Amino acid sequence: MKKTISINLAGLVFNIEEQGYERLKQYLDAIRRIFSNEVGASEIMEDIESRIAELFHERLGKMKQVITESDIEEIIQIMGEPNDYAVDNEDETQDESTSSEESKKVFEEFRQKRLYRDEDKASVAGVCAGLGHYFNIDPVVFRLLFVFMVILGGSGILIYIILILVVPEAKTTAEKLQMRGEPVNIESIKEHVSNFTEDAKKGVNKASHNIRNAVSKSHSLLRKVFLVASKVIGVGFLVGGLIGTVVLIGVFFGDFKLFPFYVENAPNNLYSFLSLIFETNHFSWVFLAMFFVVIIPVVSLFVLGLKLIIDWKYKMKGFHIGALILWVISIIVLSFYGIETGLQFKEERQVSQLVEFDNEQMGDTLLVDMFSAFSEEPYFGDYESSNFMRIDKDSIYLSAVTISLIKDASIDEYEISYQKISNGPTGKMAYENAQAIYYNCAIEKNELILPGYYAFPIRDKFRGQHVRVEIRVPEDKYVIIKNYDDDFPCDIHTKSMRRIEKESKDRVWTTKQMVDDSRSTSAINDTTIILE
Amino acid sequence: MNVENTQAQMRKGILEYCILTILSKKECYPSEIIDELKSAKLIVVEGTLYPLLTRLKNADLLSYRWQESKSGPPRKYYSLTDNGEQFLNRLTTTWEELSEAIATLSKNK
Repeated sequence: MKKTISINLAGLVFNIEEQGYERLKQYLDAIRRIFSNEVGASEIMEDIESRIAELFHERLGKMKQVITESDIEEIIQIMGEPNDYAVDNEDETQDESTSSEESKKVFEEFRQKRLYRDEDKASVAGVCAGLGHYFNIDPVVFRLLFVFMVILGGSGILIYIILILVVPEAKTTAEKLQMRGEPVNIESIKEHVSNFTEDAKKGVNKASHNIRNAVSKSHSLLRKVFLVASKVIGVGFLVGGLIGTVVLIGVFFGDFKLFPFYVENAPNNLYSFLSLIFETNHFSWVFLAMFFVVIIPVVSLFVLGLKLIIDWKYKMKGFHIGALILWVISIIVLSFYGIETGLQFKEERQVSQLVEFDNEQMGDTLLVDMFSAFSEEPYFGDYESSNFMRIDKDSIYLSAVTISLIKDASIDEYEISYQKISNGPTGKMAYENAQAIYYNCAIEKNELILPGYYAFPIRDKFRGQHVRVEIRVPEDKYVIIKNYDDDFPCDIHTKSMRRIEKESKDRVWTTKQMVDDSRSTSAINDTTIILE
Repeated sequence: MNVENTQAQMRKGILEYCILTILSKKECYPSEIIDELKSAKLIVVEGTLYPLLTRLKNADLLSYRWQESKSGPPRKYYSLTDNGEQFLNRLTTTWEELSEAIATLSKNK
């Protein structure tokens, strides 16, 4: 028993089998498309329909009242395939007619198909599932592609967001059929809906549906390869995501001493450190945004890994979209406050200070003695990374003093000065920041006591504060830096100074022209480093 | 380049001429035209004919009248217009020239 549909063709009524009807409709639609640009298309269609009606009529009799699918096939044989209707041979390149026919078919298929987001099979917003339908490729391929794009620079996220905005969601049954490239008509919609309700009745959830699909499709080797690859990658994502999540939560909210440079009793965590950089009264929000920006991709990695390994039963659409929105908002918040903070560095000002000393006691050699920021011990020799910076409740100490040794033939005596330099949003504030830097050096006899560090109030925050010590040296004089070490944390710039090798920890520079030098025991090297 | 394509091209080229020739003898409806063309092995499928007829009609070379049919829907009976006659005459001249040319070429070989 077969269902029939009654149709009106050229004013005559025919009963036609359901499948036959589908075939005929497809056929006429295809012909109509071919004539879509033709003048008098409707007339041609009328003629064709009336001829088909005639052919139907010939086939019917008292014993045969219904047109079957095989009748339709016969009639198509007589009338010719849709492409035979195209009379314009100019647009057909004859040499590749077979391949162009094939590509035409593919093209037809694409024309019927439309790109929609498939939220029924979505992992995030159904973009990949939709692409999968459109190109007839397993969506896993697109998902992996996006994940790689996210890992390699994050462009994937942006593309994904654009696709969400541009590609509509398949909401109606007709759209869902179009998405799969199936013809949209009452029959197919009915079929789709009845399938759907059947599924619902049986309580068939998405996962087992997927498995069914997977089993029927899994004959292709490619799919198997992707399946295995996705499991392997899934395990990697799962482990990486888990470790990343734990580490990030620890770093952001953990209560252990994160930084080596905090002294006892000062709050020592990422929050207190980053608040020394950002210029805002709402730093907790900035901190939260920062956390979201890094944690969301990591957690997503974890969830994705989970999904790749097992068939995830629960739809997490809301969660995914929520996470995506949160991430974008966080990026915007960070950018805003990032720019705000950047503007705090707009201007630079400096405060100069001349070091006074008794010239009588100086002689022809200046000894430079540098002391550690954080202990009474001589600075050199036990330099560690933790010595670079210290932060206590009130102040920040930095070991980043720059020393410039400059030969100056126009003077007779040493000239020692230091500049305290800082940035700020305005010239005035930059100047205030520079003034607030605590730094002092003194001279005893011919020995310059040079602290290797400077300090500034914690409320000023990091605004590019630094200190430059400038020693201008007249001709025929020496400068010796005591206990010099390779780990020396401060930059030493020299200009027109000659360095003398000496077999001791001290480092010696001179402005003397002559090679003859009683202080030097080994060969003499000229090192002339031009100041910036 | 293959033989079938070239043959199809040649047939397509003279199809309009053939239709006009058939209709110059008597008024026909499409199925009759198709039968004649089929027996002359000029077309294989019917579909090709309908767009051609419509075009010729739109070019005012053909006209038609409706006639009831015992089997099926009413039929369009096509016939040549005056323009169509003239058009056919010119095509006939060209065709004769062409076949002469081919004959000459074949002989010279």
